[in-house]
Amino acid sequence: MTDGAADRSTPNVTRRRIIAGGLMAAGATAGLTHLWLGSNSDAPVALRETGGFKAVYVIARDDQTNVDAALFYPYGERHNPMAEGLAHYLEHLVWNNVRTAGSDGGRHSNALTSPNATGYMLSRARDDLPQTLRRLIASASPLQSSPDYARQERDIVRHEYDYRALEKPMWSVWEDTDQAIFGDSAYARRTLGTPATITTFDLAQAQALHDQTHQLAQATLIIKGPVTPADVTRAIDAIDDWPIPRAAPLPVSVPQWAERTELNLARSTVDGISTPQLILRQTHLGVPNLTWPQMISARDILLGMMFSTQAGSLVRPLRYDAFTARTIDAGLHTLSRNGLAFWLTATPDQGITLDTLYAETSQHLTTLLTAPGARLFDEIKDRLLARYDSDLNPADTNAHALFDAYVQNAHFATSAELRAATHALSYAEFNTFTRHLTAPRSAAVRLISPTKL
Amino acid sequence: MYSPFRAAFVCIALFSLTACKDDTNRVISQHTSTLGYEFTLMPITESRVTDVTIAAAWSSDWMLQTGRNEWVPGLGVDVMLTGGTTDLPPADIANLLEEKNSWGNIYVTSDYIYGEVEFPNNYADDVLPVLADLFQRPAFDQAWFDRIQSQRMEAASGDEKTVGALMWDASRVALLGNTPQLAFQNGTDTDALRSATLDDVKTWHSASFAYRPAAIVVTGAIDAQAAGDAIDQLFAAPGAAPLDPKPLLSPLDIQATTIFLHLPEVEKSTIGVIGLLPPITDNSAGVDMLAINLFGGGADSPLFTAIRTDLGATYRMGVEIAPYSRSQRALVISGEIETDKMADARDAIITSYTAFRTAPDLRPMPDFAARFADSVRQDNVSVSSSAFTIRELMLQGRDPQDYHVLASDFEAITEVQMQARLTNAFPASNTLMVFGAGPDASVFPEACVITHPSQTTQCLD
Repeated sequence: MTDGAADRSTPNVTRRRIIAGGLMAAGATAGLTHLWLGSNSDAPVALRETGGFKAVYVIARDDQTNVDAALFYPYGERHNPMAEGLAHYLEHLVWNNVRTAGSDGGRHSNALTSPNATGYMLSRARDDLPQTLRRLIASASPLQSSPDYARQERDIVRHEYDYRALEKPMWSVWEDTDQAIFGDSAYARRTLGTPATITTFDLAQAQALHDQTHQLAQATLIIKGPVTPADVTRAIDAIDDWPIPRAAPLPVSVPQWAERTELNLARSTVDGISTPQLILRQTHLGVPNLTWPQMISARDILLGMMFSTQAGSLVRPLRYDAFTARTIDAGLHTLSRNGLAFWLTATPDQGITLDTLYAETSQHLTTLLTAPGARLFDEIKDRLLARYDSDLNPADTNAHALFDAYVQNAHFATSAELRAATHALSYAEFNTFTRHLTAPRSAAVRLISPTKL
Repeated sequence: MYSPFRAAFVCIALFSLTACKDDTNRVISQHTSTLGYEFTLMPITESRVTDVTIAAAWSSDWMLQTGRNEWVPGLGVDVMLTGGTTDLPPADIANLLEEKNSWGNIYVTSDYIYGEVEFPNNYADDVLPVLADLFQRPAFDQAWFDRIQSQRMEAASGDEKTVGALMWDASRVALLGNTPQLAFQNGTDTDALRSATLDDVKTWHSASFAYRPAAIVVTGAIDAQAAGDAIDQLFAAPGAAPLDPKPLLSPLDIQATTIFLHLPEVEKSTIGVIGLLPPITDNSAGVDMLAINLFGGGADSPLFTAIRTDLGATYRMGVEIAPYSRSQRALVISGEIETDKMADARDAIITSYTAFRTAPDLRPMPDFAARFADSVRQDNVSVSSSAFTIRELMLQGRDPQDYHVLASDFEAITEVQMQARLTNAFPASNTLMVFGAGPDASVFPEACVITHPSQTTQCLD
């Protein structure tokens, strides 16, 4: 009757934060193999010979029958200079060509557009690897589509917008905070577009964007399954008709979002919600003097400290010592390779105003960031290390991390690298990280009340 | 596997592993604890496996009896999990479990209460007493009860239900009738929620766990004696024999009619096509799973082709098997549909389903079966997934040993079996019930039109 999935402080959600994919595990025989291969061999293998691709990774897995192949272009909505959402529409058109580029259909196919990347995925039999690669590289061939299909797919994109955005009262609030923290920069662009921009999409626009973004020399291929790097190399070597670029590629790097030193705070009422909510968002540039694995490790420790129920955490004073926040949720994500985005949502307990909730949350968050408890830091760090050590399937964890890195245009760090960074992270380095978060590049706060109480 | 070096390496690895495993690894056996609990054990003695999972299920008739408050079980499990124990406040319990890399969960359905805990075996002495207190002696703290109740009240009385959620409310009114089970599953009676008390929760707690579990499974790094002791510690003295809730469950009432929920103010339309499926027997769960994926799984499936590719009526369609209880199952085909294409979509769903049921293209079946088999094998490496799988088998009345053949069962399903299952167990097209909801009632001219889910009974025989 209730959905607690979005509430990290709801206790009947498992308290164990499983390292991504760690327990998805492998089949019995292969799982044993991975255990004995050791941490270095759990990393994806980067091929030296990449054919027409920019990079190729192979994750050899004996515990699956089919080969999963993903091809990522480092261009998403943030790179799109045309109507908002066009990158997503283009992905729909290209995906149709990829999945139908053969005689046996594309049942196990998918595609995605993120703010940073566009990816095409196929999962097919091991013996079909050469054909699978040919299908994927067809995504870089000149975009062809009948006008009727292009129009119908534009309607499908609108259906997808309706599916994801309509009946979600907080959708526009989050879009509003995107504008508040990112201004008019590419970081504020909406991947799904808007109903107004979707109606403007046409095939010619999509073809123009395709020519500038879908070039294999910029693309990374990830292969996971019962194949060896040699198998993949042979399949790549057999390709003799690489698509030829038809335009100069767009720049991969995206200009920095605007700096807004003043807090953007607003109160509003929203139809269709029943619970008052606090939303707090901040952006930060990357932390000087910390490597990427160090930053990720510090991020994970900080989140662990926030949600610990010990003294010095964020949750303890707000949810346990006093009934101030009935729920608290938060995240700290990388913004491409340029920075970090922090968000926090909370709902007040009975009798607590949004102003009180905001004031107390801010106070405890500031305390945590400026002077995090050294003992709690050590405890959470130890727990994280223990979880890296108890990961039964680090190869799978690395596979997920590699995939996510390309979706987010982030650096990829292996589980072993992150463990080492966590182990080596000193309290002083951690405090450098947390203090950096006290001075955001931009920040927004929303105090949201239901229209009907 | 693909090179002499690799093959040799795997052999060395497997040979070496014999040193850290024994002949009990993943052997499933039945035991009785000192206090008399019967349980199923599967030790996992593989290298690096230190976790232990205990998974149980209690049959329950609370949600099926008239006069019971349908909100109490949900409130009860939240109070048990969040309110602390008589000895430890909630924050300390949460911290202990986090520190020991352990967790516990409990949740309720119409006819069962499911509980599960997991902990590394070297922390058993730290964690089990606390988990036992949480289960047997929760604090039943009034302040936490009030907090949880107010949260649920806001969620239940808010104006947040989507078109789809309202349509499914209407469908449950039809399928379940005016029963306590409907009240539990729809959760719309806010007066009942407001009237629930902490004493009600205490009554539910003592009544529900006065019975022995219908299934207890232990997996992981533990032997039979320690597993039995852990169970005794968690559950204390066993109570009466498990209940049988089945007599209180009415068959789903699925009538071949069309009902449209007219909601003039909403912006989109949705459709749900529902048919009756028989309870799970033998390996039918696997066959059914394969069947619905053959029909609706993937971009070239018959359902996707008909509704999205050919008609362009939706972004996504879904087909699933909905378990209203362990013995009440339905086939559900659903999706958001462009309002102007609702009638065409309804016809295309029925047409494609009819063609699939009577003359399915089974060529993709081996590929799907291999993928499911891979997934089962991968999931079963996990200690907790193994426990949940074995518990599910037991509740289906199957032999727990089938855990070892679930993957190969998928691969062994034949086209003849599939065709027979579709013919004999899947609902005929002329028995399907169609629900629609949206802003335009004229899309289904023949439908019984209602404006609120509670009016659904007016459309039924």
